[in-house]
Amino acid sequence: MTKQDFILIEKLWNRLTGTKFVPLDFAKLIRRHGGHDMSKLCEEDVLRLLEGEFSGNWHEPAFSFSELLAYYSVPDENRTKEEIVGWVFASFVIADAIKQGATDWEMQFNLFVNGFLEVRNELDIYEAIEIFERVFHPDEVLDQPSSI
Amino acid sequence: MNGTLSASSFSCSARRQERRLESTVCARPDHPSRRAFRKTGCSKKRTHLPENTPLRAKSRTTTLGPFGEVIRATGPLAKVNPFRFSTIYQDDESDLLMYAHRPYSASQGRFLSREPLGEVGANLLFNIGFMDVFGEESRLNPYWIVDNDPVHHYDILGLQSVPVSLTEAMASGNVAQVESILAGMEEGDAGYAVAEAWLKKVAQCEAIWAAYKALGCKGCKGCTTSGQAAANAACLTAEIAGRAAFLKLKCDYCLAGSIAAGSAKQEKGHQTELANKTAALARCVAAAATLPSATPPPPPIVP
Repeated sequence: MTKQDFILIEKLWNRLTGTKFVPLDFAKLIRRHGGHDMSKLCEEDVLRLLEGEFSGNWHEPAFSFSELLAYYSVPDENRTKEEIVGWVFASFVIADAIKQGATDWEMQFNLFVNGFLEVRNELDIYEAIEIFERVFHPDEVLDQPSSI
Repeated sequence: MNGTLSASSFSCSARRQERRLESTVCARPDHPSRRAFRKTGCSKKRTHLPENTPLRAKSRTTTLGPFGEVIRATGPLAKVNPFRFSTIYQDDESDLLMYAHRPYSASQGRFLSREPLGEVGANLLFNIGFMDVFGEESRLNPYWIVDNDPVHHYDILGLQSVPVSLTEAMASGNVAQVESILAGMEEGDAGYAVAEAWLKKVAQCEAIWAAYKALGCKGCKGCTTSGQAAANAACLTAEIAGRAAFLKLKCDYCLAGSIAAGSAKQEKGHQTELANKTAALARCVAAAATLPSATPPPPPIVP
């Protein structure tokens, strides 16, 4: 996660929910969405992932956020705006976990795309493009300024 | 859902049951039935229902007493759903609530037959109670429902009452709290066996979850030999078996944290992940069949 990623998540949150983005509350929400699968990650861990400062074993977030992606990819008529931002964050974490060698796209691609199909109507097209760029070409995005 | 109520629209929880006791059930404000019956909020006031008005949704007002006795039931759909007090099926002709082991008469507040345990094994125990050996009213009346205390207990099968505090601890997945409540109980107490079985199930679910989580299987896209692909396929097979057992045991409904996010949706999420892993396993099996058994040696360097 880079500063641009954080800014994108913050902007998305502010636009979709109409409330101010508070990282700690967001971390709590992510843990609640993750349920038992997120039980080995504390709020500080999620905050570190959000701020790009996570230095622990990447297998833990790889497992937890893979389950979270699966959770977000379930069709739901009552999907909340918070879940859409959660999907974006989970996608970023999974992309980082793949980069760290803790999982691979073969296991995550379908979950990511199915989740995207569920949330696409709520995303602006340029936001979607930026998310795809970030997820699939992390190294290239790192040095580029945010386009939104 | 047009005009009918599904069994799933009622909750099994004692808390919901209590809520039903406290307030009347009414249609949601945004529900189409609101238009059909010109119903205002939850005020229970209904205007005249015009003839031949199509019943597009549920409409009923039901008020129950603490023992499930009907105090008031109005509305054209009041009796459509036979699953009523405590989500138990009610036979309209006899007015009995058909608990799995014993029919219960809500109007009388008692079961029609004795506690099965009393008839089979603990007859002597109950008889001592009836004979009033201790000079006080027996608390072991075999016809009572939930120890005659339906506000603080509930019963699923018509066999054993479970204290609400224990129910709440189990619903929140709080193992420590359940263990602490259990420590203060005795083996024959209401809910003891249920709580013990719940703890056993939680331990089983935790073990399954930890086992498949530790596997950390990967796909076979990067495999170069059939051996690697077969090893990954074996890992995925073990993971799939664990996940299937997790789903079969309905672990999403008892592990801590699962309840908060909505267990049904979490269960679907786990089913999605299981399908994903199964597809990956199929790819691995195909790769194991097509890849060479050993890595081919590098081509000789031609000077």
